[in-house]
Amino acid sequence: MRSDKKFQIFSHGVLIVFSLLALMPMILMFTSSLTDNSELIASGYTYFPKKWSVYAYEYIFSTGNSVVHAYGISLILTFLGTVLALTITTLLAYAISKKDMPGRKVITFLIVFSMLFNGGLVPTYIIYTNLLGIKNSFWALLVPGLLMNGFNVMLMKSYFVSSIPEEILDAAYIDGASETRTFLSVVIPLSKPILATIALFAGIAYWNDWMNGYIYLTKRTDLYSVQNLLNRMMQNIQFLSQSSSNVQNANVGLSAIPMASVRMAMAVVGILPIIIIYPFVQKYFVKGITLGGVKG
Amino acid sequence: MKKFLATLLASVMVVSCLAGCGKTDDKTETKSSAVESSVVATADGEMTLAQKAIADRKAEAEKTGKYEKIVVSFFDWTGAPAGLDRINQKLSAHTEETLGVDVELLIIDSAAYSDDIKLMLSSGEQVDLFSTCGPGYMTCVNNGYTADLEENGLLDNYGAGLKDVVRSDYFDACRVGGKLFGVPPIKDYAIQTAAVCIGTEYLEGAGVDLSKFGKDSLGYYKCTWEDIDDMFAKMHAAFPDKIVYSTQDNMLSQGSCVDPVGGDYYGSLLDPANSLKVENVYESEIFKTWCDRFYRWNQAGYISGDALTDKNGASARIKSGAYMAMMACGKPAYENQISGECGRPMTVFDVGEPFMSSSAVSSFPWCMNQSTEDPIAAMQVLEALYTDPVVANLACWGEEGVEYVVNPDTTINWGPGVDSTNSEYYPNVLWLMPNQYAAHVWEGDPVDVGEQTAAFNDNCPVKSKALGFTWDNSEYAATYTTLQNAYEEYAGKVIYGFVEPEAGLKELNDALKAAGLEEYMAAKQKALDEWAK
Amino acid sequence: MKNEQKGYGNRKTLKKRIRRFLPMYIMALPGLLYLFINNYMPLPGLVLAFKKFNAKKGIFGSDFIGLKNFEPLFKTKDAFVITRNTILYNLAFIVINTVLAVFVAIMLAEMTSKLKKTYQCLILLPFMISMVIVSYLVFGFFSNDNGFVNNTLLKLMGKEPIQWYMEKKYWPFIIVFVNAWKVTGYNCIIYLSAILGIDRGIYESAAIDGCSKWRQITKITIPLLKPTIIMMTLLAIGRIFYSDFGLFYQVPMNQGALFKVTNTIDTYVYRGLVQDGNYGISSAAGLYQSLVGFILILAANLSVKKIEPESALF
Repeated sequence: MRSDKKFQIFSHGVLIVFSLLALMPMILMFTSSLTDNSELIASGYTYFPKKWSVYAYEYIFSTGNSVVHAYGISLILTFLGTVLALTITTLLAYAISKKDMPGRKVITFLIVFSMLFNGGLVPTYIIYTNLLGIKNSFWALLVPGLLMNGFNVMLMKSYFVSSIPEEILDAAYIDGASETRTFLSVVIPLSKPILATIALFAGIAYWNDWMNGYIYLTKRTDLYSVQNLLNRMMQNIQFLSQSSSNVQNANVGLSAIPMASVRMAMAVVGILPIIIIYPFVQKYFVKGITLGGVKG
Repeated sequence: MKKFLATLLASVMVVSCLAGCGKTDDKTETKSSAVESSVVATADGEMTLAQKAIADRKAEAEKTGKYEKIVVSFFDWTGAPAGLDRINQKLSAHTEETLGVDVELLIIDSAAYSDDIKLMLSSGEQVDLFSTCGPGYMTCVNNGYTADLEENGLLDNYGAGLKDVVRSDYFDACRVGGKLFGVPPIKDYAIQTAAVCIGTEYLEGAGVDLSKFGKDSLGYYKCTWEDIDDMFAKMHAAFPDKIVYSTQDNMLSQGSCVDPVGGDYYGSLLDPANSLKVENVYESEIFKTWCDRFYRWNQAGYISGDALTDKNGASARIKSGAYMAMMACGKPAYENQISGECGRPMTVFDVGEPFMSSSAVSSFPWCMNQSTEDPIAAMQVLEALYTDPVVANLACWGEEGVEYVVNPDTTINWGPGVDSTNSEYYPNVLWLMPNQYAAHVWEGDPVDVGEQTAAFNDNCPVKSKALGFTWDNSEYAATYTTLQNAYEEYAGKVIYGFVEPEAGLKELNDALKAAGLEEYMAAKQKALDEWAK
Repeated sequence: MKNEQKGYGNRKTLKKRIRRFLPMYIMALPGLLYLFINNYMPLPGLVLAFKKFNAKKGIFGSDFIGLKNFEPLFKTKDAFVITRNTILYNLAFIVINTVLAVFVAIMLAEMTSKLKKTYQCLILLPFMISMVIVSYLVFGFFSNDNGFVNNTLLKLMGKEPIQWYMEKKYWPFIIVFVNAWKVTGYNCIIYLSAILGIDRGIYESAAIDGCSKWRQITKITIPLLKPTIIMMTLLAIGRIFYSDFGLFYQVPMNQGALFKVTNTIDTYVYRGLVQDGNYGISSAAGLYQSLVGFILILAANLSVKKIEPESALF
């Protein structure tokens, strides 16, 4: 047991260093979002600003930028998206984890192939707009690109193959359980860690996505998610600063945007809900799986 | 497995083909029928063709109970404004009367506009008229997004009013290969190069005597680079904590009369008013003078050590109070604008000369989608955008009495309880609108700003001989990519004076030549010679 | 389903096997349908790589121009540099990120303290912010005039400030570090879930046998993680010609002086395209990257199949 104690101390040491490395820039991001914009430009980002200011947040939450509404859209989208993505991914991954299933290799190959090749932006856009007609609707946020990806399927399949022993499944079949029942009452409980992982990955992907809104929501800005809203602000700022010499007349109202601090404040606004929600997902990562009970 | 894959791919092809091809077929049909009907209309003598087209559309609307719609797209800074639907209704109510169509403005935010509009134009969605500010005029023409505006007498028969507001040589400036694909927005095309803007407080603090400078025709102080050096030295001494000059890579574009003919500086006209010889600007005296100047300034400590990496706008830096001066280009009423941007009174010094480059007029014209279903209606709406004050006011400013109110002198100001933060319609992109001067003038600007700008354009003494030359460089995409990368790799250091100019310029030029500059320039020269014939 | 159809190892005719697995096919259906719509239907659009796109003629009707769109990738003296950078960085990422992620995952899994939740959350944080923000944070540390490193660290050590954004030699390290910093939290979750999927019973009996923690890790955890590691590596090899645009463009602030060590296929193509937005060239670049990745992944998978058939992708 002494070796275990040493290991624990060592782990704490290392993880504290890692956490600090991750945390320090985050704190810098937070303090600079609260620094007066002019000071940021004049003397750079600092942990101890001389002049504090909440103007960046006022700017983001000011009328016209309905951040609260967008939070709502983001939450609904992330919730729905995660549930759907998790379902589709799990079903497909479980199917291709069956070694004897005819066609399994073809399907697996098709999945890996889809991770490597893509038709590009224009053809994808044409399919979704002209064929499926989901432009300017909530579907446009939910469906394109995000609903399932090969990486998650492969990840999950690998877990099924390596962590769910065949003997357990066989035992269930011998007991007379149907395929569906085995899946629901044996496989799913044993797969909590990977389900939590994929749910987290899908959730992060939905929460962070802005591309779909950027491309498909040209008229329905009321469907903008938080990331769309933040990205629009950010990209517009960038567009302005980059093309100010081409767009010679960039008008007066624009220089009123506190660019440097708003950028940081936007990052804080975008990341906050994740910090709040994450601990709830986390409980599935805490305990390992014990096969003993199932084998029983 | 192979067989299976082959079958799958084939079926995919078939489905997509059906989806894609079916669409294009539709389009061609409607288009040819539209052209036919214009021929039929010629036989009808009583009305002009334009009136006939309007009457036909109204009759059609009466039958179906629905007016056909023309979609007009451009960008603003915040995406579709909250009041857009209301403005579109007002607009359509007016155009149903005058043109027999509904008009829908489709406003997309600036960051997404370029990608979104290209996708819409590529996929055959309905956009009839669009601003090329964002994707770029040549990109749109090269990708085949744009319709020929003069085909079958379209412009002559249905957009004649445009010719009254846009001078014919400005039309010609937008021709590509002889065809007219766009109508330039009415704005300032000429620039007064090298307008050095200095915070007035810093000039006073450094004790600069302004009385010795004369003024130019725009009312700015006329001075030389020696005078600027002198002022910078005094300012640096008086404000040692502040950085003198806020840099941006605009020495050539705003600080010289070198013409980036054909869309880039890899082969430029050094004396564009007199000669059509394509030369390497990076070996020229003009560029060397700039590099020497910046090297001198950098050595003297006028330039920030972060000049290469700092992505903040030049005026935003001055606004922060850490920087004192910058360079832009002048035009009528510029001092007000730059003072607003920099958050303090600025004094503008004119060190350059007036100039109109070959691409000044054609930088972002308004175009018609090649797949538009009714080119005639689209042309008539385009004409209205340039000439009908009701349409122009709605598009530029929103609804009278809500977004704005009219003063007795015809200038306008915010409507009751409205300002830039809560206005439901405030695109704030006057300079890309078809004709901002057909609409009201904002309070504080001269009522005749339109005439002033027109005079500024028309009287510009240094106009590029290549005005209207455009070049499709897609044959040389590989060379262009290499050149662009070579420029980015070696230019930054030397243009901001971080390396000794002699050595830096040699390094830059060697890299550009190795990247194929000479071949690229020769191709450009050839195209230019052919155009000039 | 009927009982008699169950059971493994019996030889059956294909028809019977398919019938037995019918529920599996039904389960796979939604996923396959999505794959077809989202990934396979747009695929014919890849012909754009060989065409000069013209909207009037449409994707399939545009003029065929052979391999012209591929020229910017090959017919340039930079081809070697960009290919080398892309591959070398990816190799470094594969090795370093895997080691770090496995290392952190094991520590998190074995940790008994409640603090592990906090650690895990903190380490994931960097993954949540965009590269643009990361680039400004990096700039906050390395800015010449105002940076934390020049102004505070180097000053404390009594050293001269360094012009970070002009010195090539530091950037390979900075980029590898930033990348690891950003993705370790994400990757370690993958390994963490794999470790949690290992039967705790195995560890318990090992502990009873007097196995030290270290031996448990090397003899149980790591061997059982091997399939996951191999799969992750194979998938990473498939993307070896791709690079994270933000990491190589935004983070070095698009600094010309650093191009020799920061220019990758993606940034190179982007710089040439900013002005023209040519769909043909971007699809050519994508096709080239995919093809190389595809060939490499097939080759790698083949060798894995020989050594460890269980872990092969397909």
